[in-house]
This record gives sequence, C-alpha cells and structure tokens, in this order.
Amino acid sequence: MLSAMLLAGCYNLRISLPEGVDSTERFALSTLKGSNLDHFSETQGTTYLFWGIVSPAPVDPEQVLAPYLRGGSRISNLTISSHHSFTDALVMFLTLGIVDPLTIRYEGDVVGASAPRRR
Amino acid sequence: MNHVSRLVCSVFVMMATGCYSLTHGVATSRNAVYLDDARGSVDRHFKEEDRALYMLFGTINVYQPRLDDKISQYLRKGVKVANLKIETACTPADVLIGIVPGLFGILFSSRTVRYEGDVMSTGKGGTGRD
Repeated sequence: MLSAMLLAGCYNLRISLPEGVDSTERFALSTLKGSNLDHFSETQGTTYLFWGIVSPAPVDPEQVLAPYLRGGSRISNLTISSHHSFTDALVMFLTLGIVDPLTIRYEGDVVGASAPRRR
Repeated sequence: MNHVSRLVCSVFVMMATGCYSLTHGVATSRNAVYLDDARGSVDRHFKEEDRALYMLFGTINVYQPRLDDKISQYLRKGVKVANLKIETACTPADVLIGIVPGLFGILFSSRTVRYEGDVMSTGKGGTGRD
C-alpha cells in the first residue's frame, strides 16, 4: 500500500473547468470592472477514499457557480479554498480515513456586464 | 488529564480547526486571471509548482503557496492568464517530507500545489485587466 501511495501520489485534487466548456472571461480570480450585483459564498463537497489512494474526479467550479452567470453577468474576485470541515473530519475519524470528505469553498462577487464602475 | 482525555481533546482540536486548508486567489495582481478561456492570442503555456507546509496533521499552516507570486513572472502589460488549472497532490516527495521528520517525532507534512494555464496577449498594450 505504501509503495502504491509513493508511486501514484495520493490526495490528488484538480480544480478546473472541464475541457470544451464554452465560456470566455466569466470566471475571474482577479477584479473585473462592472456593477457589483451580488457577493456569494458556496461550498462543494468531494471525497477521497482509502487514505487518498482513490482520488475524486476533478472539481468543476461551473457546477456550483453557473446559477450566478445569468444574463451576461460574470464572476470576479473568486477565491477557492479547500479544507476539512468539522463534519468532514468527523467522518474521516469514524472511518479511520477510509472515507475522507473535503469541502471546497468558492467566494466572490457577481458583476454585471453593463454600467462599469471603478473599484 | 489521562491519555484518553488528551487524545479526545487533540482530535477535537483537529476537527474544530479544519486541517490541510488551502486557499487560492489573486490579491495583488493588476492583470486579469481567468479559470476559463479569454479573448486574445496565447503567448505561452506555463506550469508552476509550489509546496504547502503543515504541522500537526494540517492544523497549523506553516507555508501557503501564493498564486500571485507564482504567476507574477509571466505578467506584464498587455497580458492576462486564462484556462487556469489548480492541482493539489501528495507526491512521493511529500510522503518522504512527512516520514523523515516523523522519525524524530515532528509531525510535519506537505502538499504539492501545481498551477497551469495560458498567458494570453490582449493586443491592446494595457494592463490586461478587464
């Protein structure tokens, strides 16, 4: 098991938009110009199995953030953080690490396409 | 306090603080950074790697990679970053980093963080910021 972990690398987590997604300049980690419509904080769960040897599928931010992209609005100042929440840690503890949930948090602003303003 | 109480307290602290946390954001860059595609031509593709360092099962963040620092070398006037991918992994090197101090009773661990994306020219000669 140790050699498998050493060879494969464990606890892999990939955060990216899926290949072929038809989106241009709508998910920005930097500050975008535009009227600030909303601030959001969303979470998404993912799970490692068997002490990280079985890693989850790539995390797709679009699944969570798509509802904020209506009517030409865009996402600005996006920060992505991953951590074990209390519940995640409890599950990990009770299953001795066999099931290891992880919480991904997205936080940012929704800006409109029109009425640009200086930030 | 007996050993069982100490163990329960330690586990509770781990759970309460949230372990192996990692945050990616752009705080200081004047250039635009996108997870998706951007308008313009691709100047170059980049891959950068850094290592997050933790102690006590990830409850103490010793060092956190900063996306700003890793991509700053590519950013100049008129460019932006697009198609950014962020990958966190526990590589064989990270396993060894954890094992060696562990032999001396130091609970030290690390995670490798990789940033990958395209540097794109806006063609306007501006800052690249939208």
